Amino acid sequence: MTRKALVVDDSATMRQMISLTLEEQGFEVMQGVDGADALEQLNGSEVDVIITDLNMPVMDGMTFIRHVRSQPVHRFTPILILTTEGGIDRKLEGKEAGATGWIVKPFDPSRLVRVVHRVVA
Amino acid sequence: MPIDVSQFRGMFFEEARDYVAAFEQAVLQLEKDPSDKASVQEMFRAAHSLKGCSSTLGVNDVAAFTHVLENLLDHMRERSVAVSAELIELLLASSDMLGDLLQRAREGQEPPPGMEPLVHKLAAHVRVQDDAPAEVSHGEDQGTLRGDGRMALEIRCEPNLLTEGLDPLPLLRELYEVAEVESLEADVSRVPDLDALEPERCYLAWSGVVDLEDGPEAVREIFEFVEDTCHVTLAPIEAKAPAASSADETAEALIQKSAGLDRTAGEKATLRVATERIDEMINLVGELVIAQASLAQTAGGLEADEAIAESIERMGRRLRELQQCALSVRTIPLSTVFFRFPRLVRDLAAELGKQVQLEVVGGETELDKGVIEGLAGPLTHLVRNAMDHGLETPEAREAAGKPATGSIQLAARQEHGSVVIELSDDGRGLDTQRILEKARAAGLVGPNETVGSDRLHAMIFEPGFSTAASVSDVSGRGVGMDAARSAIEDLSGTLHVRSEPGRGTTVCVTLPLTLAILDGFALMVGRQTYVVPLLSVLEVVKPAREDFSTVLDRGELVSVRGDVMRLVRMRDVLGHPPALDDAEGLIVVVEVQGERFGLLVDDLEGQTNVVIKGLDESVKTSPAILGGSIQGDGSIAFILDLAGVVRVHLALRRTPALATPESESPSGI
Amino acid sequence: MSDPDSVPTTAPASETSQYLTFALKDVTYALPVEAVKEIRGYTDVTPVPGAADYVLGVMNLRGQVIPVMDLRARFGIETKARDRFTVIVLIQLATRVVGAVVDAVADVLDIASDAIGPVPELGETIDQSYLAGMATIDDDVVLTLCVDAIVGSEGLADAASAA
Repeated sequence: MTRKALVVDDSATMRQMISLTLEEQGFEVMQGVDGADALEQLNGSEVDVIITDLNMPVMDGMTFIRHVRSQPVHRFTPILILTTEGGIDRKLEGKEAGATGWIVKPFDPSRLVRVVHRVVA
Repeated sequence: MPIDVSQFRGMFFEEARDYVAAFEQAVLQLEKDPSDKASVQEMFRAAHSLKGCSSTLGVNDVAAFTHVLENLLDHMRERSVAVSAELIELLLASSDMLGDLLQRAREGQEPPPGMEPLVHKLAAHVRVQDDAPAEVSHGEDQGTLRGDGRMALEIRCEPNLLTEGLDPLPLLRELYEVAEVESLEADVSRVPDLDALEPERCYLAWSGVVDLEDGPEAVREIFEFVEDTCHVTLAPIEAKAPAASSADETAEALIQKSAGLDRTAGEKATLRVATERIDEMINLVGELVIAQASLAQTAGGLEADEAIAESIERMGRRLRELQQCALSVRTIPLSTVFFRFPRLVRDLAAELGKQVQLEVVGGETELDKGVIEGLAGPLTHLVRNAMDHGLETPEAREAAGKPATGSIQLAARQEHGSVVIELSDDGRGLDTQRILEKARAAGLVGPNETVGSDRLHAMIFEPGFSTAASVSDVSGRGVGMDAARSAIEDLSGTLHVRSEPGRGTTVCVTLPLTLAILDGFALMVGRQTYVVPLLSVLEVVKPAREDFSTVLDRGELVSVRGDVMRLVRMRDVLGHPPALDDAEGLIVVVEVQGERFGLLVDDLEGQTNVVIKGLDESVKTSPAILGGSIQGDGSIAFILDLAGVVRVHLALRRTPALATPESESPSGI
Repeated sequence: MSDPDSVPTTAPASETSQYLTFALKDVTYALPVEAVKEIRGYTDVTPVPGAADYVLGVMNLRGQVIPVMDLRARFGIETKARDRFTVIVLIQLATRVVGAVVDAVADVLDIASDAIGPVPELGETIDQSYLAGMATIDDDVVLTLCVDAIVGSEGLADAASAA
């Protein structure tokens, strides 16, 4: 079965890079331009992994993660934060919101692939 | 195989422009309302996204600069930094610097010399950063661990890792791949009694001995992305594993919310597609529409049964919907050119010592991308002109009993098949007396000729016309207005001026919705069909013999309902043999560069939509021909460039040229 | 010339290439076959106001508006009434198609690249810049053509030299 990923980033370039990287790995990729858009894309359906930016208009990444994590269907969904921010406070906030892990930009496709394989069996 | 990210550079530069524009807009918003936290957030986001992409793509100058800029913005976000004029200037300079850096990076050039000093200024503005940014700390005693073989490994996990979406098994499996695992045991000591056991919690820990030839990094890397959930300790086998770092207790501290986001406009997901591909699609759809028309014609000729005729008709309707839909792909909102004006007006006002309030309306109106791109230049000229010549100084305004602050409005709206952009100012209005004097002096108007105010107003678009008493650097020396007009006409648009002395001036630009398809008017000259832009056609009349006249210094004229205008014999212009009788033809009244002309043609075919096809470079055509198009029956019609038609006409008549501007792009934008 | 529309007119040494030969007046000319898109019987074209005199007009080729030139006029040879042998050779370039009217097409020949020599200074002949080389095949002289020079836009060249 094709595995599904949701990529959330307000930068089209970033979204495209991440999506192509995942598509190369055989993922079917949905894209969201911000948290609210991503929630809409998700619409309660299951995905195998979510990769999100933090700083986005309309709905930021933390809020988005809280929303997703609160949905029963996403109780165990891996959510990776891909961001330039690496401060310990933000990391703890992400953890509290329900994020699985943290990848600090600059974005490196092979690192993303490695990490994704660690959370998607 | 992981993808090569460098292929995204082009896309990044496109996107980066949007970020810089958003950044600048936010700075201007902050200047207006220094308490507006959302604009700081907006700036931060733009800088942040630029940094993320540029560092990934190796656009290092941009990455370095945005890093410093982001620091300042972060500082502004978290502390209440006073928004001084100096800070605004600094941010605007940063916006310009970003644009410049991106441009240079795209061309592979070094950063400009101004970058260093600006970076220092930005850094200086971030006062003592008392709490140094908490860099990702690996917690453990790095450095003491070298790749010297066996190590004790301990993995302790937060019990809630499952509900954080983490399954530890793949990580352990990977551990076996990167390290020689001598032993690994699950520590079950924390598993509670069954009745206290929560199935969603993980009570396990692991410990064992691994042999790491390449040092501990490979193992650390596996757990790095979850370092706050899985605490990994590695210690040389002799030593006791040190306690894992933990700052969990501070979890509650400093959960700073991002500033309130009152942006309501739901931004939609977009896809960037190469324009050529869109054009190709629009072209094909256009062909399809024409093919359907031809099919309908054929079916009509065959007297095919009604059912067929009906389905062809239905197909035609769907095709036209498809065409509309395809065309809309090429349209983008006018806000993409309007966004630059707040900054322009602000800078110009400072330069000219004027007070100006700019109002922008209808930025959401959509237009063909090609039209929008061509519009920036002429609109900039018009705005500059309004600022420079239209608006008075605060003193002059007060003396005239007006508010010291002048106002300029840029308003766009859609109006049956076209887009109308009006630029109005509440300045002094055009001085028709002065214009008339200049026009007489330039020989554009005969000494005793009376001219209506409409035509006088239009004269400001003549080459070399400048009505301001003094020439300033801002709107140049009368170049610009004529260049603005030819640029608008190159976009198949028209330009009109309304003005009231003391009350202000309005320049009205009317543009077609798209360039790919021309809303045209087909006419016959000789046995050939030609198409002119519908927007330019005012009326068509059947002339009487007495309507034609010849005036010594103006050539042949034709009178249309008492309105006398120059006669353009289209057969002459297009190289067809002359007709036998002028009165057999029709007069198509068109407006070109503010003047009306009567085109003498043989017949009319009426309104039509045509897909414009450029002509091959080997066909060196007359300036009267803009391109070709294929008609429903497969024959070819030529699309006329009316300004070119007038040029050919004037060259043929050898009358003193009223205006023979080469269509140049406006300079000095 | 770094024209993207360039079509090679000569092949590397000792290779054989195919050429389409055709007649203009009494002379046989040859175009590399890869430059020939198709050959069509002559149909009327739509004259273009203000075009150069050797441009007969434009035609509708499956929805594209393409120029058609009279190759006799292009070469400065006196023109001739169309007859049933008259054809339009559609020359394919990277991004353009240009039609050329010739008296008649003759053949497709294999010509070895080393059989093509320089064009001698013939007495009365067409502008040398249109010619790529000369070959003698079975006692017949064949002049190979330089596609770029024929379909190249003089307009562009003029503009460049005037600048």
